[in-house]
Amino acid sequence: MRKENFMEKQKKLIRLSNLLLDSLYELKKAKLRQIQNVMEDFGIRCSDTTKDSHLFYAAIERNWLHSAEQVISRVNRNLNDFSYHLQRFKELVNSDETVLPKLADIYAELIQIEQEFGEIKFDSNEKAISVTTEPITLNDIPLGPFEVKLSIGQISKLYSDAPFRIIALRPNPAGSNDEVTHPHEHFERLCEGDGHVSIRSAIEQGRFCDFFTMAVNILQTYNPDSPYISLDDWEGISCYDCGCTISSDDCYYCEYCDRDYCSSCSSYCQMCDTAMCLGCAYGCPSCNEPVCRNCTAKCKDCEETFCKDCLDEEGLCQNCQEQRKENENEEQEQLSEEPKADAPV
Amino acid sequence: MRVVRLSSIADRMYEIVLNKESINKFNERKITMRILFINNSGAGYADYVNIAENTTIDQFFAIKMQGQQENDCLIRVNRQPVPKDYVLQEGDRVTITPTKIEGARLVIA
Repeated sequence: MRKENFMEKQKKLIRLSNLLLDSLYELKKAKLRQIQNVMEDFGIRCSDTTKDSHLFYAAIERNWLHSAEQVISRVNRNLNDFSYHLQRFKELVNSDETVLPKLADIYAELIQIEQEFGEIKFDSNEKAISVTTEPITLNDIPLGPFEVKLSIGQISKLYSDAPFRIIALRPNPAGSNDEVTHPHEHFERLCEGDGHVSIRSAIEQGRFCDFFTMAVNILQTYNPDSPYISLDDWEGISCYDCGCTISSDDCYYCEYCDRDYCSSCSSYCQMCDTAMCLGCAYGCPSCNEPVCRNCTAKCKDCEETFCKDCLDEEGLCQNCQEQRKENENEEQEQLSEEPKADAPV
Repeated sequence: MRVVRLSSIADRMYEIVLNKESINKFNERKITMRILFINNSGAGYADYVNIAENTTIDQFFAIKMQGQQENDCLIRVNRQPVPKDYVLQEGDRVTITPTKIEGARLVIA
């Protein structure tokens, strides 16, 4: 029974090794296609230069000096592009030729991964292999264990995208952003930093154990100079307006929009002292003080909104009060003038 | 006469030095061996290197990873952990991976 289980396990590892070898083959083809594209581009530019040279020769032979000068200025304009494409072509052609590993090497890599990390998990739906780390604690903040998942089908896109993801198994995300479960991880993408080149080199050469080792070592190391979210701000809350991270003691809750804000992005009602964000605060046009919407009312005449303090007992703002007084005074004057007009001749 | 003697002594010394150099080169060719060295720090390096016979893994680390501490690296020979005094053999595969690799903040262009 044990022997059967062992044989079954070996068969799985060999099948997995074959899948990985196929993906490395596709990766090599992708690199060669890249060289082919650049070579074709370079060839087109060479043929353009050849055409220009024929035109130039014909122009000089026929004494068309103005046309010859036009050809020269076109060639001159294209020279800068030409040197860039030439340099790019040289770099690609001279880049190290990675030798594909043998099946036995990849099998040995998988055995080593099992020895270093325990079990290798194979997700047959996603065609991905993964290892699980021990629970990670950085600066006394527990972040939980992580799963480093390498997608076999995505290895061929190594030069344009990262073929692996970091999944938090017992996430303790940053207070200001649920998507950040590690200072150097965002949306399950690892920010490789110093390990970027060597990780890609390891995958390219089929050194999968080295890849997993480096990914785990990055997760276990905190770089305070360049985290996505600093561990000092890990337990904080993000201001909904400006996005800065604040501690839970320094944040202000706006009950009108149900969000948290920092002191710079919040205010309080001058009438009822309710905390609110600057967006929900209303500036009274009369006294210019911030008030909440519960402490405002409309003027009965002009229907503009004021704080309740700036409206009189009749619900009129100062301007409308003055307007009313003026109107009353005018009416009184008119009334006092009318009897003189009716006096007998 | 004295000049001729001095000249012959100089020629003889020259021969001795030359022979010594030849012997040294012969000895050198005889006592080096080739191993595969994979260095996962920085930009990475994976190639064959020549080392002297009877070089221990400790000595190899001191030569190739100058300024670095062994405690800061994961060292494997032929995919296995080995003691410090392990003597490297012809064809061995040595991998050195730093345990502290600093990540960064993802910058989206």
